[in-house]
Amino acid sequence: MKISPVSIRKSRSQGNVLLVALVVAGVTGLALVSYLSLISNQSAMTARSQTWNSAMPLVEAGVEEALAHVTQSPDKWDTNGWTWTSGFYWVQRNMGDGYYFVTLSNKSEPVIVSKAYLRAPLSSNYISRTVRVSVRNKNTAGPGIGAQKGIDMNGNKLYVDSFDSTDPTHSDANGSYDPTERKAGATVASNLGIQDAVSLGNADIWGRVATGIGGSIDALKNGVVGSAAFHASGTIGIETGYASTDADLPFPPIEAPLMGSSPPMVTSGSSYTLLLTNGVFEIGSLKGEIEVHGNATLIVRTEFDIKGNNAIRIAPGGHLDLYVYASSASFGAGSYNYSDGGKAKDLRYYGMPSNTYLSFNGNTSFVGVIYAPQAHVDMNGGGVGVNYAGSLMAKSIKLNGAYAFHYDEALAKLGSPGFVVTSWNEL
Amino acid sequence: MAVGVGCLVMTALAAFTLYSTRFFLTLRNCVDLDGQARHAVDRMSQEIRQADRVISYDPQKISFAMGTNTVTYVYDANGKSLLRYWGDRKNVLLSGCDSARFDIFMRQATNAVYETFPAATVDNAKVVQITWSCSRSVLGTKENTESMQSAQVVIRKQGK
Repeated sequence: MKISPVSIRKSRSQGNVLLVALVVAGVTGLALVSYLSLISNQSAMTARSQTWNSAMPLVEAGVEEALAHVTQSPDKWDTNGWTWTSGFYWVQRNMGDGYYFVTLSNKSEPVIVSKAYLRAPLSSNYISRTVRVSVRNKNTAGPGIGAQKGIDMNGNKLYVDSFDSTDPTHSDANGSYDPTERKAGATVASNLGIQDAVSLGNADIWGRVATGIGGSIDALKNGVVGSAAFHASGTIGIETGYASTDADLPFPPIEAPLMGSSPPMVTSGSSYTLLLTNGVFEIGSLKGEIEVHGNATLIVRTEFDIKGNNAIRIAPGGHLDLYVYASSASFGAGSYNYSDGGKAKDLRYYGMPSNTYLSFNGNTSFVGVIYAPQAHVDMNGGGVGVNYAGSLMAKSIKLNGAYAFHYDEALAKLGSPGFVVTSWNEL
Repeated sequence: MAVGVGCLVMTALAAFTLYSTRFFLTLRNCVDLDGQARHAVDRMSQEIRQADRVISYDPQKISFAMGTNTVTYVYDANGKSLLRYWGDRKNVLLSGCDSARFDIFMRQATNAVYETFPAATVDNAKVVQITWSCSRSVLGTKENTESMQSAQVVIRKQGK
């Protein structure tokens, strides 16, 4: 048999082509496998990351439920599906592809441990995250006069004392301030830790004074700080043990309603009176008087400037929460929840972050609580009437003239609904 | 003829290798940026959430009190990196970072506007926003390898 050299060359050539094609296919295949592997890993990592991040809202759902539970049932925790087991109360809820298990312990300062479980992508295993949260009863009333920055009391003769509107032996028959029943339970405290954080001047303080760590109190001129017995002794100065440098007042954020309806009003010439009943109301400029029958909330957007003999009247059983966004607010000479034996707990003023200035002018009689953590407060005038009964928390405070301030100790006992988070740790 | 075909095949192979290498580098950079950003967001959001408060702030450096410790995040513009300091310990959270900045806000809503937070000072900061842009180069160009990220984290602690 005779083999043609042409066919040998042809078959050799075909072999080379096949080899090259195999090499190219191999390289391409390898590249493709690598590419798919990289994409697959990237996809798995992204999916796992999404699950990991999704666990946090689930953890927070558990914390929210625990907070809602302790707020609604502060004394009885074994309700609403919560169970007591070996030292803590717990509940478990399913949500979407996962569930959370949350425990509650320590009634005086509740500790919440929330653990969320979510199914890992393409797996039957769970990814879990755990957070431990400590909370404390929310109390924006403070200990008397409290400020984040300085307190200046360089008036003529300022008085700060306390009473208890729930105690007939330390208030009048209506639960109002009575100078003959006064107590020495007020605290004037600044969180500031610098020299002269609190400047007392000639003030008479029936209670304590405190600054932040490292702070100091300006030397008294003719003032007195201390107990009722110390005041009765006629001694001038600060009683031993009645000044400290441990002030650390909390200033939690304010949770305000977003909006409300227009309030009904009665006009008389150029003046008007808002008639508030149960509900949330809002107004741009507030220059008129307010009469409250029920549990009312009023949002003030742009202007707050009121005065009058009965500028704010709250009927028995009524309550008013004011949320003020106006940059400046002014209480003129007049009475605010003072008539009818009003209680400080029933008038609460919340200064939102844009509310940076607040003033009292003339002989005011204000019975209520002011919490304005971004505002400087000026108290001018005073000397006649009750001036201020309740509590005051602000960024900085200056008392002028002969202002009198009476802290209502009942506010500390009542607190306010809800809790604030004091520590948050992911375990 | 065989030489010609061989040259064509080799050219095709070289082109394929070049483009696939470039493609893989781009992809690797994307994966690297993604992983780096994921790790940085996770670390920072976890720490900021549980911080006690902001101690000091400027747009390129922010410090938080965490119990008795301090954690600081710094953008190093010269080194193009976002650094984390925990006491004396230093970690590089992001490298190849063209820009990064921090912003602080208060927690309360602005007047009648939902989820818009007013600017804050160190004393009242409750929301921290982190924004950065990182990139990688492939053969000297930044094509398809830029990653911009922004996150708002709320300090959960409200009171003492």
